[in-house]
Amino acid sequence: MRESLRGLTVRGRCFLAAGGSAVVCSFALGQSTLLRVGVLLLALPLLTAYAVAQGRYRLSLTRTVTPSVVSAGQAAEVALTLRNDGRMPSGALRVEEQLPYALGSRPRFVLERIEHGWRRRVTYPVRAEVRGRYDLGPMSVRVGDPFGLVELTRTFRTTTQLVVTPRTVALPSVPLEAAQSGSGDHRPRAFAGGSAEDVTVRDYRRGDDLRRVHWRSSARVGALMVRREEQPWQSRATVFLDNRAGAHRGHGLASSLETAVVAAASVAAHLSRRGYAVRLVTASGEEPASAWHSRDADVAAGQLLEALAMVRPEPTVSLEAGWLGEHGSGGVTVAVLGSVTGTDLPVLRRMVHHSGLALAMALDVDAWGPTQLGTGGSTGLLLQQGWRAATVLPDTRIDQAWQALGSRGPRGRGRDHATS
Amino acid sequence: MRLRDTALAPVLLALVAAATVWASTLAWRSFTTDPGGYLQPMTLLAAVVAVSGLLARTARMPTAVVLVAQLVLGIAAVSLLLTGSPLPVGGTAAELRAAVDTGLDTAARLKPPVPVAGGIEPLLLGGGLACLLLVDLLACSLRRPALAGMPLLAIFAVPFSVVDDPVPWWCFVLTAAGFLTMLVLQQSERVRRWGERLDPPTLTGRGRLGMGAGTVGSVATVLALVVPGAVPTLDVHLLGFGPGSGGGNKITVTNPLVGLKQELTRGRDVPLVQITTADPDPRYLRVAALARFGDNEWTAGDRDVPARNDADGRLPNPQGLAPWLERVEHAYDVSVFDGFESRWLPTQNPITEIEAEGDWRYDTSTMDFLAGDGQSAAGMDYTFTALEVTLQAADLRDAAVGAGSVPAIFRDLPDDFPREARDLARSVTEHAGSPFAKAVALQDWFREDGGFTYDDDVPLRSSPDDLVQFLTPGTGGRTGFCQQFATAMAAMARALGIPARVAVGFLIPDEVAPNTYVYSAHDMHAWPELYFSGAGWVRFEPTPAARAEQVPAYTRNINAERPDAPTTSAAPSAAASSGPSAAPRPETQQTDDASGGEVAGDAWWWALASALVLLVVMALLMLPGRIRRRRRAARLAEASPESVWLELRDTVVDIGLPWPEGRSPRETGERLATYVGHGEAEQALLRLVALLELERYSPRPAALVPVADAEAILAALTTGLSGRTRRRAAWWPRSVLSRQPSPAAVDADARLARELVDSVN
Repeated sequence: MRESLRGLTVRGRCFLAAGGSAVVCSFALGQSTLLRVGVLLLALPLLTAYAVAQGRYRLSLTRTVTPSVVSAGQAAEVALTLRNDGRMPSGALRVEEQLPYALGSRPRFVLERIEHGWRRRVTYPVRAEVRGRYDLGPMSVRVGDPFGLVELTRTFRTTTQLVVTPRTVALPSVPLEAAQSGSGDHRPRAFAGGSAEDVTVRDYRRGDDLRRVHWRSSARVGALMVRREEQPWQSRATVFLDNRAGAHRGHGLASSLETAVVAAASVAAHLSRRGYAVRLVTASGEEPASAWHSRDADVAAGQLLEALAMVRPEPTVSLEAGWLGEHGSGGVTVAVLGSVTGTDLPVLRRMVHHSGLALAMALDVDAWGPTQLGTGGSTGLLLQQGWRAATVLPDTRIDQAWQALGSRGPRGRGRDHATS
Repeated sequence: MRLRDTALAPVLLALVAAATVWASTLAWRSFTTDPGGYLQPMTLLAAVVAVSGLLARTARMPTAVVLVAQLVLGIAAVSLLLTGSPLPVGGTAAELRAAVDTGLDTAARLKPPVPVAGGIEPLLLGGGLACLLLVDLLACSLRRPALAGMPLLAIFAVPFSVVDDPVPWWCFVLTAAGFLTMLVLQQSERVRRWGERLDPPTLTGRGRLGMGAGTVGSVATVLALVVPGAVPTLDVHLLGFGPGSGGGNKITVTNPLVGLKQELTRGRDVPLVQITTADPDPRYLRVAALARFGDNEWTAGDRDVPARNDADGRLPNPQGLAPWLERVEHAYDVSVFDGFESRWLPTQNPITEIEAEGDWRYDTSTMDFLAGDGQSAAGMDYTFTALEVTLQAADLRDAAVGAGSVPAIFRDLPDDFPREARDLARSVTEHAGSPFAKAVALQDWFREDGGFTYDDDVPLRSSPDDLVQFLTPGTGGRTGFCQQFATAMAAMARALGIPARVAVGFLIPDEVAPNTYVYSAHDMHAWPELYFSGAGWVRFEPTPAARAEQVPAYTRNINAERPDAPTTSAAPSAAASSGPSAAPRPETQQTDDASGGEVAGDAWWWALASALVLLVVMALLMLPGRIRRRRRAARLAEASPESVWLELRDTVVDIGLPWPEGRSPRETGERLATYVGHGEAEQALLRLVALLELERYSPRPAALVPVADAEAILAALTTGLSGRTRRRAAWWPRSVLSRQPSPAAVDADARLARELVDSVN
């Protein structure tokens, strides 16, 4: 009752005030008609509040989104199943789904005269142009009365997530022979005998053949070590996305970062499809969800895209280099870069050293800036550092840039290093 | 029900709005002779306004255009109805103006009810049209049906300002129903526009329907009908203003005592008033009552008498008269001779009914009749009905003074009231027990024991010394005429705490013909009236027998038992012993109450009662806070860990925080630590918990909690609270009001009631 009194609308409160004044005036003037009017105006909101407080509806909601991951610009369908397990509420229930503005207008439904056991499934489409993770819901319910005197707002608690991944562009297959080194995907490669230094050892595990114990190492370590006679060989690729806020221009969908994300997503999806184990690295380091694992290609691509959906501009100034291991991992590194400054060069140089093939899409970010005039970007700088680089402008098609990267052919140290 | 979902909803709303206005104009029937004269044209006007508004809105015209179109059509319709031509130009305009003038003239000249046709029809139609347009504009065009209540209220206001009649209940019900329907229609329209509507699959009505619009509306309307009848205070006029009261009604009265003196000492005994009545005892015809005793002079005071108290018809019940007292009514015909220039009407007291032409008004506190406009009673003829009440000494003997039920003007004594008079009053009445016995003792003292002599040569006096001189034995002392006796006794009665006033009038008439009596100048007299609970204003006769032979019967032998036979009580016991012409009539005076009439004295009762109720309510409201403070004081005084713990729990509950139930002291203490914050209070809390654990779990009794610790914790709990929470904790503590009202439990209950359940796939 107290809650519903608190929920009195402006009209309800005005009725109370007018009714009170009328009653007081009726005493002063001795007019029973005025008293009647006053009592009517007082009684209406109070009775309504009582009636609303007596409502014992019990509304349950199930929300499903199919698919729960969509690419930007694609529509997903949200299905709501509403059920009333309680009694019929006195007035209409107005339910409203809380949606982020990017997903369009909020769907609203009016439920009137819903009995016990009433059940209804409604669907509405959502469609987002902007990548990201969105919370659908919670759904709010406004409980009203037929006179518009009381309005209570209650809210369901659960929300459902919808991930909108960046758009991807289908990229042409370009030769990335340097990284593959002529060997096939996932092909175990035996050690070619060689010297003892080449032998990789690992801890003894139960079941290992005793003949494989590497005694010399065991003597040195003090525990049984066995020779690793084979090593799974994966074609690995690293997609590096420079998402530092300072390296990009523009805002929102029209920013250079969005273009960079689309490029990175396209490359990641393309490489995954070609059988590479792709990891995503951003300015703040390796994305934990998208580190190298041997996975199903589609799942891997999905996770990469989800990770890219959540990429935000980072306020950091320098590039995180911790993900670059001690030794070169080989494989392909595709960097999508914004503006490059002198302080970034050491990291970029290390990246080249650590990879078999270093490709860079250099965004000429000034073309996204207020002047919209390109200044050539950092392509030249990158070429000096040993990258294969292609300049990307706002009107550059990603697939063409990729084609350009592939057709430029192996050059310089990249190739030497990769084949060594 | 389904109708309002369709496109017909606006149609329905417009029709309901027009019909509601029409129904509310039914209230105008009360001041018209031929209601059909305006109701039929109003039907046409309502239809014109509703249909034109609907069409205009369907054409999506702007609101202003809609209003103008309705206005033009409405005026044309009014013109057609009044003059037969829809265009109010040229001759028609003149005709229309003439009709309006006639209407205004009729309204100004005639008392309601007035004719409609050929009378106030233009006014009613014009007003009705304005209300129709307003309601249509507010409810349909602006979608604010709640505001449409204002014009409807204005329509209702007409009858109660014109004829002071309440609106008939059926008219109220019709209008309320229409108003509520407008609200529902508009709200459902609003909801419909709000979003997509999910219709229930079936309408079998398996679920229990809650309180819908119909139920709420009906209950509210029934309440509105019933409550005014059940509220008795409607007749109490707060602040002294009520129906009919207005400015300019103050009547300043000259002192009738002066006139009395002049009449008494005038040489000739001219006849002044002639009455015809079957009353066997027409003595004590009162002219005025003097209520104010200021500056040791009795005056009638300034009377503020509203015009509604006109001396025309039934009068309020006499004040303070117990309902079981026997009453007999006598009709009086009065003719005042031309020589009696009085601004009061002579009447008996009390009377129940009076018919006097002219602006004569009664004062509810004294029940005398004053001229409203400076006229005089000379040459008037009028009638009234006197009420003879049979009072018994036994009734009065134990009567309370009832000082609280009369206005203060009847109790006030001047500041320089002589001390001697007060002392004398006390000494004379010191052997008398009850207030009534004291009054009788005073009367007897003046008449017999005090050694007073009657002499009408004594000048009219008004200084404190004169009163003292009158009361003091010696030369010029204890000598006077009725005025001195009456005023002195009234003053001394007031000194004893008994409300008193002085009545001026005629004593004994001469019977000139059977049932016809004449009062002449020498019959002028003054006597005191004292107020007793249950008997009202009671007449006494302190003037010695030389002037007034008899005292009222109830003042004789006041210790006599009540005559138990009803027949004897009907006739006063003293009647047999005295002559028929002087049959003493026990008389009581004054106004009110018993049946709840509206009199000024009544207001006192009400004021007293409401003050009492208010006090009780306030006491009840303050009770929880008081109980809470007492509990706190007791617990802190006991200072055992358990009692302090209990106090802590109550304080937490009071300020609306959840108290963890069913936990160990330590766990509870951890929770409480989050309330009190860090610092001294937290340490104190830890010590308290340790003590409590000792008390509960160790064989030997724990030490007492230091008061400083307890106070530190309590203070830490209440710091930083909002003023509202603090006040609530102080005056409306939850711990006192409900048994174990753990807020968490309350929340859980509330959640159970109206639940939104999320299911996750």
